[in-house]
Amino acid sequence: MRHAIRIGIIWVIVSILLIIGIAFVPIPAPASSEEGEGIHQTIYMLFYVGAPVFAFVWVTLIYGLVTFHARGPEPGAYVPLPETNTLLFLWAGITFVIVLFMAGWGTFTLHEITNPPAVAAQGQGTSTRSHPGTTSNSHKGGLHTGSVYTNGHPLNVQVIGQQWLWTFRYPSYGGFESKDLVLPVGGTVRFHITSLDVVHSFWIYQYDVKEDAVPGVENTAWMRARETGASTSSGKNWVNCNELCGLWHGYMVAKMDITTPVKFRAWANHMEASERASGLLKNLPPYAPVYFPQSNANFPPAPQDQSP
Amino acid sequence: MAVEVASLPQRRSWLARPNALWAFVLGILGFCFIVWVLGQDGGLLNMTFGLEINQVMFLGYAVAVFLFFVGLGVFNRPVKWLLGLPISEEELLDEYGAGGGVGRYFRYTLDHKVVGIQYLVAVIIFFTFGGFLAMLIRTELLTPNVRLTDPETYLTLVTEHSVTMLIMASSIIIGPFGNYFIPLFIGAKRMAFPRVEALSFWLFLLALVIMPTAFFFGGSQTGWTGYAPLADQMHAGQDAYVTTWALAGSAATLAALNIIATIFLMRAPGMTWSRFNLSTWSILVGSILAWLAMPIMVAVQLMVGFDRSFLTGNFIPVQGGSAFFYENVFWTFGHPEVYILAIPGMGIVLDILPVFTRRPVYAYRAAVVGLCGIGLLSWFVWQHHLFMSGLTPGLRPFFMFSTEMISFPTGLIFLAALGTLFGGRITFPSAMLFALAFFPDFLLGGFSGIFVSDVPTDVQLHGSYWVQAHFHFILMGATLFAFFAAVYYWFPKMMGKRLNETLGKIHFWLMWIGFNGTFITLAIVGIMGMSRRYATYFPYLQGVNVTATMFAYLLGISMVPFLLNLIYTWGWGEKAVENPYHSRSLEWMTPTPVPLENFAEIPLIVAGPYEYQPNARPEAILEPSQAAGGTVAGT
Repeated sequence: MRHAIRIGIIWVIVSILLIIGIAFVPIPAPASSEEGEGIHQTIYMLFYVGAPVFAFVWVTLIYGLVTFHARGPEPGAYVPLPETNTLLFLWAGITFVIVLFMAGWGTFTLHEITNPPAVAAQGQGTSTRSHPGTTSNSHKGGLHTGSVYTNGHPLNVQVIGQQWLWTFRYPSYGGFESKDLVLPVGGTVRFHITSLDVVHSFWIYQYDVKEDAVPGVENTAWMRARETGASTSSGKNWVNCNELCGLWHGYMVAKMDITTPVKFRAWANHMEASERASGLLKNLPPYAPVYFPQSNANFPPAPQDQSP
Repeated sequence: MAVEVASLPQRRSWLARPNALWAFVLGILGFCFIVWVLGQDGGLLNMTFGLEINQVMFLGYAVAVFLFFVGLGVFNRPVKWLLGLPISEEELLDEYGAGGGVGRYFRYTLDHKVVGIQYLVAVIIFFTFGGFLAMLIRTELLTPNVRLTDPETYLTLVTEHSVTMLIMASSIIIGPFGNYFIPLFIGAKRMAFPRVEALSFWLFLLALVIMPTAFFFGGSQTGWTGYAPLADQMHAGQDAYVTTWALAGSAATLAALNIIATIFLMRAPGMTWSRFNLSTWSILVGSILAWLAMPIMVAVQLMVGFDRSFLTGNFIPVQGGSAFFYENVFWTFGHPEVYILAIPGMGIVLDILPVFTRRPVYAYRAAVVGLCGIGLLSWFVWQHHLFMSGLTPGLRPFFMFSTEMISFPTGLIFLAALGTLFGGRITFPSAMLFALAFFPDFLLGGFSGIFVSDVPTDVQLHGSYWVQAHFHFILMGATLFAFFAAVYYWFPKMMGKRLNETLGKIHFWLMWIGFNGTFITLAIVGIMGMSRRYATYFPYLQGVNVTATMFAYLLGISMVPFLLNLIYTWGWGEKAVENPYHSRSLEWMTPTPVPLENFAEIPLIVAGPYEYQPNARPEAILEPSQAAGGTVAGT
C-alpha cells in the first residue's frame, strides 16, 4: 500500500510534466484546413491519453527497480505483490476502457472528416472507390458542368499520379490539365485520385490530405483550405508522393498555390483558354474516373490523311 | 545410448566430404554459368529456348539452390535410401555431429544444438551486414541532397537493409534459441524432425545470401513491401527479392512446423502445459503464426515471380489484375509477420526477469493468455496498413478497433513484467538490463502504434518517418533487445563461457541511448512531415536528420563492444560455472557442454520453472529410474 501511494504521487507529477511537454511536440498547429481540424485534435487527444499511461509504466518500472534492488546478503525481506484476480480485472478493465475511448473517438472523428459539411448529401467518402468499368458516383454531382464551387458545389479536381509527376485536371473548366495544384481558399475541393502506373500516394502535409493513387481505381478525398499560401522553398505547401513508386519517388513533388477565389477563377479561365487555343485540350482523353495508358480506348483517334 | 566420441573412426578429410564450401562453390558456379554463360544475350538459353532475363534469373536461382544442396550432401541420405544401400549407426551418429569439432558447423548436421549455433552466428553476421547498410542510409540522409549515392542505389540500400533485417529478425529468437533450447526446455532428446530443422537453417542462409545478389542486377527499389505494379517493373534484381522471400518463407515455415511438432509430441512426462516456461509458450505462438503466415508470402511472391517471368498479370491493372490484390494478400502475411518477430522476444524477457528477481513470474496465466491473444488478434488487423489506400473504407472503424485491442493482451504482458519486479530481489547483469529495456522500448512502440492505428491521425502519419520509428521500436527495441538479453543469458549454456559483464554493460548503454535517440528523433522527423524512403528532403528537416544520424552512429558503434566481447570470450574467456544464475529452469540442469542426447534419461518433470522460494524442489528429476521411489507414472 505504501508503495502504491508513492507510485501514485510520482505518477501524477510525471504525467503533468509530460502533458506540459506535449506543447513542444512540433505538430503544425493550428490546422490550416477544415478537415485537418479533427486530425489535429485526435493527435493531441492521443498524446494526452497516452502520456499518463506512458508515465505509469515508466514510474512503476523505475520505482520497482530502485526499491527492490538487491541490497545486503539476506534475501526474503520483501513481500511479493499478491496475485489477485482483482488486480487482473482492474488492469484489463482500465486497458479496455482506454481502448474503447480511443477507438470511439477515432471512429467519431473519422465520420466527421469523411464528408465535407456542405456536400454531405452526395454520400461521398474520403475514400470511396469504383472499379474500372463501373460508373463513378462522382459523375452525377455535376462534374462536367456547373460553375466551380460557388453554389455549394465542390470544386472537383482530378489528381493523376504517374512516375514521377502529378497532373491535376479541372473537369469543370473543360478538363484542362495543370502541373501545379491551384485551389481557391475557403471552398470545398474534392479530389478524384487515380494513377496511371503504380501505387502513389497523394499527400499535402500542410492541409492534412492523404490518399493513395491506385492504378485502375478512383479514390476521393476532400479539403477546405483556411488560409492562402503558395509553395515555399523552405518546404511549405507542397504536394508529395507518400508511397514508394520507384526511382524518383523522392522527387515526385508538385507546387501548389491556395489563392483567393477571384484569382483562382482567373487562372482557371486562362489555363482553359490557352490549352484550348493550343489544341491541347482537344487531344486530351475525355475525362474518366480512371485511365489505362496502354489501352487505346482513351486515346484520341489516329490522325486521318487530309484530302488535298 | 552414450556416445563415445573416441570410438568413432576418423573419417575422410573435410575436403572430401560434403560441406558448406562445396555447397557455395557449386551453387555460385551453377548460378554464374546459367546467368552469364548460357543466359547471355544470344546464348543457348536465350537463342534456342527463348528465355528472357527474368526467366533466366529464376532458372539460375533454382539451379543454384539445387546445386547448393547437392554440395551440402542433403540428398545423400535419400539417394542411399532409394538405392537400398545400408546406413550404419556410425554414419547416423556422424550426421548428428557426434564426432564434435568445428567441421560439423559447416555441414548438414542434424543436432539441434549445432543448428542453434549455426543460426546464432548467421543471425549476428547478417545483423551486422544489415546494420552497416543502415549506417550508409543514415549517412546519405545527412544532407538534403543526394551526395553519397544516387536514388537507385539509395532505394536498393533501403530494400537490402529491410529485407535482410526482416528475414533475419523473423528467425532471430526462433532460429537460435528455439532450435537450441526447445528440446532442453521440454525435456526431449532431440527435435521431432531433425532433417527439417537442418534444412530450415540452410534455406534461411541461402535466402539471406541471395538477397545481396540483387546488387549485381540493378538492385531492387521496392522497399521490403515490394508493392506489385512497381515490383513488376523492376530490374532483374527484383528476382533476387522474390527468390529470397520464397526461400525464407519456406525456411520459416519448416522451422515452425518442426518446433510445433516438437512441443506437441516430445514433452517429457510431467511437462504439462502450465509448466512450460514462457519462452516455450512464446516460441510456440510465434511458430504457429510463422507456420500459417509465411506460406502466404511465399505464394504472393511466386505470383509476382509469375508476373515477371510468365506475364500472368496478376497485379497489373491493364491486364485485369489489381494492385489492391497484392497489398491485401501481402499484409495478410505482413501483420502476423510483425508478431512472429515480437512474440518470442516477449517470452524470452519474461523468462529472464524471474531469474534475476528471484521470485516467480507474476500472473503466469495472464501472460500466457496475453501471448496467445496477441497471436490471435494479429490476424484481424492487416487492413490498418491500407487505411489510406481506398480499400473498403467502411471497414476502417473495425480495423481501428481491432488494432487498438492489441494493447489489451499486451497490457497483460506488462502486468506480468511489472508485477514480477515487485517484492523481488533484483540484480542487474547485462542480460537483465537488456531484458528490462524491452519494456520501455516496446511501450514506445505501442504508444507510437496507437497513432497510426487511429484513422484520422494515420492520415498525417501514414508512410512518414513516424511509421518507420514505430516499427523500429517494435522490431529493434523489443526483438533485438530480447535477442541480446538471450545471448548474454544463455551464452554460458551454449558456449560454456560467460560474456564479459563490463563490455556487456558498455554495449547496453551505448545501444540503448543510440537506439532511443535515433528513433525518437525519427518519430519527430515523421511528425514534421518527412516521408519514408526519400533520398532527398526539404532543407528545413536537416537539423533533426543530422541528429538522428549521429545517434544512429552511436547505435552502430555500440555493436563494436558486443562483437569484441564475443570474440574475446570465445577465444580467451574463462570457463563459466554450471548454472551461473541459479536458475530453476530445466535447460540449466543438463551438463555443459550439452551432451549429444541432452539428457541421459528422459527427465520426470515435477514442478514449474519459476518457483523461486526457499526449499523449493527442483523442476525435474533427471534420472527417474535412479531416484528413490520414483515412479514415472505420477507427478
